[in-house]
Amino acid sequence: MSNPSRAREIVVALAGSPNVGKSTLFNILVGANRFVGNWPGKTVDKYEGFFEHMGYRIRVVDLPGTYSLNALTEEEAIARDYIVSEKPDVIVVVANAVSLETSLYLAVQTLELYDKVIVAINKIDAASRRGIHINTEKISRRLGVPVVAISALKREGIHELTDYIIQVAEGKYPSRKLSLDYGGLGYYAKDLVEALSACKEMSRYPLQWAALRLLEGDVELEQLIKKTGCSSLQVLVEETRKKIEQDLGDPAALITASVRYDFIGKLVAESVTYTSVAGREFTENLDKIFLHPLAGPLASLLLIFAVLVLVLSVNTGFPIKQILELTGNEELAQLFETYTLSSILSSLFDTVSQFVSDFMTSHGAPPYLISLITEGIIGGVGAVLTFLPLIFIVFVAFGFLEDTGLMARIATVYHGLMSRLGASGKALMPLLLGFGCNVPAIMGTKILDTDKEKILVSMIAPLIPCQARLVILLFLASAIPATSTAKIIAVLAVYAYSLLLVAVAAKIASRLMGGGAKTELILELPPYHRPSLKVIWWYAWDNTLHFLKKAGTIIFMLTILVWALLHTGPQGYVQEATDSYARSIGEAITPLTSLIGIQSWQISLALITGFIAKEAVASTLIVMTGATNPSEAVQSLALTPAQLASLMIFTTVYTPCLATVSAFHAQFRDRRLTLILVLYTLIIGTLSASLVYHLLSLVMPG
Amino acid sequence: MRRLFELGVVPGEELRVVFNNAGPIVVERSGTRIAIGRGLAARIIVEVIE
Repeated sequence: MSNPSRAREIVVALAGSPNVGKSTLFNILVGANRFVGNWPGKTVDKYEGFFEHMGYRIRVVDLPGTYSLNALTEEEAIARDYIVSEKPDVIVVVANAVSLETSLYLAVQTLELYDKVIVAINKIDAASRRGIHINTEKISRRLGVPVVAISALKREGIHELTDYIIQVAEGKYPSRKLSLDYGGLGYYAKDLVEALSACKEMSRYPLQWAALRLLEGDVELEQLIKKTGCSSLQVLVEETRKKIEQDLGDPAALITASVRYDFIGKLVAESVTYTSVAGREFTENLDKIFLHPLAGPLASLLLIFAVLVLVLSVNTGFPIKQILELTGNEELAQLFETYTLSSILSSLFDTVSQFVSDFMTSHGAPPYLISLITEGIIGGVGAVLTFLPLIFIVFVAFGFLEDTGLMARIATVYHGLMSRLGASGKALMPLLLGFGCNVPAIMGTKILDTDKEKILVSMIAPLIPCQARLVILLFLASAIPATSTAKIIAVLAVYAYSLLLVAVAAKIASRLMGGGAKTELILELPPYHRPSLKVIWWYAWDNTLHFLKKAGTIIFMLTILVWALLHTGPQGYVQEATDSYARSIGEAITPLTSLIGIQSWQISLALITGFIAKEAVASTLIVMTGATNPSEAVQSLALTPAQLASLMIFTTVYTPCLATVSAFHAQFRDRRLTLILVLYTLIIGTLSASLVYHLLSLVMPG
Repeated sequence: MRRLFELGVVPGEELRVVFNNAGPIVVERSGTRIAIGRGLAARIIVEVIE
């Protein structure tokens, strides 16, 4: 992909007040690749280092710790001078979540001077322990630059930060300078700007900024004016300053500082909320249950299941619908499914696309256009939107568990179990969610602490058979010539096999990622909180928006692409998939699928459509065999039990659906990782299925 | 080890054992509860003061 020797270099300057954890962040970013020097002509140490990320060589310069950019101290002067003369690709201003207001001052000052800025709010873990919750999305909207919550100590949010560094450096994030409204002061500054533009030496500074700084009183800039002989300016500055004090009643420095703090005060008021911490006794009593050796795991499991059933049933009916069906309440199951969010949404989209289709037909639109709009575009939008309520409700539930302090207890009691997979106890939650749908499982890895763990769990989560795979499994199992007990056992065997794969894949992945050793648990158990609706709402809403923006576009584009494959062929636009390029691909890959004992191109084609959504395997087969119901469709393919078993394993394990792949890519934005996910599941799926096929063929020939 | 220090479990500090059942041990240090895995906890040398 990229040649490291020709990697683009990005220069990042770290700015921040003392005690915000700037040096910790610096060390985490560059590790051992650091060297100490001196700032030219100064006694202050200059730390520099570099690291590589996604083919970029990122050079990090640790600016001296400063509270402002007023150039009052040597440190401040160095920091400011560096920004103005070196023009780094990105400045990361590190703020402190625990004392946000004071540490944002530097961020605001930097933003007035420079546009390529990222604000990293550090010590976010310490803040949430104190019941302080920060909405970074809101701050980001106000400041106009990316804002990331991090914990340098715990290595949280570092991945996100480096992603933003590259985006801002590449100009992919439209960052802008901050211009505060200084009221009357602005007019005086404007006059000064004109005078400044005549002075050549000042041109290295943004003039608007320099004018304001001069009015505030800035020793360094004043000396510069003196040195360069723009002496008329000096007089003008002093006169204007006096005028300001007369007209506005206060010196300029006081006005600017109060405008800045006003701005920050409002910013903090609207984006920070506090939750009260529950009483000691309450925490002690609840912990007696949640940390009890027997009751604890049980209580946590009950809690997790309650959340899962609630989240999934509202959206897709799983698992309540299946339970109703198994207990013979078919009608009730149908009724229940009709009123789940996803079927309400999908019938809504059916109505819309039917309406559009009718409208376009009556106006004589060509069939390919109708199909593109109703199936491709409306279908793509629908594919994205049906996920939104699911993601939202998942994060409401996660937000609740995190905010109350329950999540830390779940993590504690399941640490032993999950650490064997190289993950922490918290990982149980997203993984179990995977049984419903892999997309929220991957999105849910957000709650995990380290990037390594997020990647690990997201890699293995797609091996968990989701509800859509269950549908296919039941569909295929229905054709096995055996008793219904045997069919259920076959489905359960596939589940057991998948879980085995999850465990093995986790082991291998954690070994590969260099985390072979079992980690000991050290976890702070925060006192129980009364959950704040505001915090949960922020959390859920931000994550839903994130999904919509990042994964949504990928899902949409892939849907259109697959539409094109299914609806164009050698003759141009085609109605039926059997005439499309997808068929050609299906035929082309049949030699490959014969590895797993499948020689029919119809099934190969169905497996390709299974990439849109796993359910599509069934619908494609029904359409292509011209059958009226699922079991008739499989029957007409005349598959042997060995082929059926192979297909059951393959559809469960092979490459996850496009929504899952999109969610994964949106989460890590690393093409290499996404490619690994797609390929390793495909390879394991093929190996497993062909093993099952050949073994079964030996046992029951024919 | 460093994580323990960050959470304030340092030599000379007084800890109260809240739970010591099967599974991780939960200790309390000035109002903060910390769960510590058994293997690690076994390596913390303490003196019983009460």
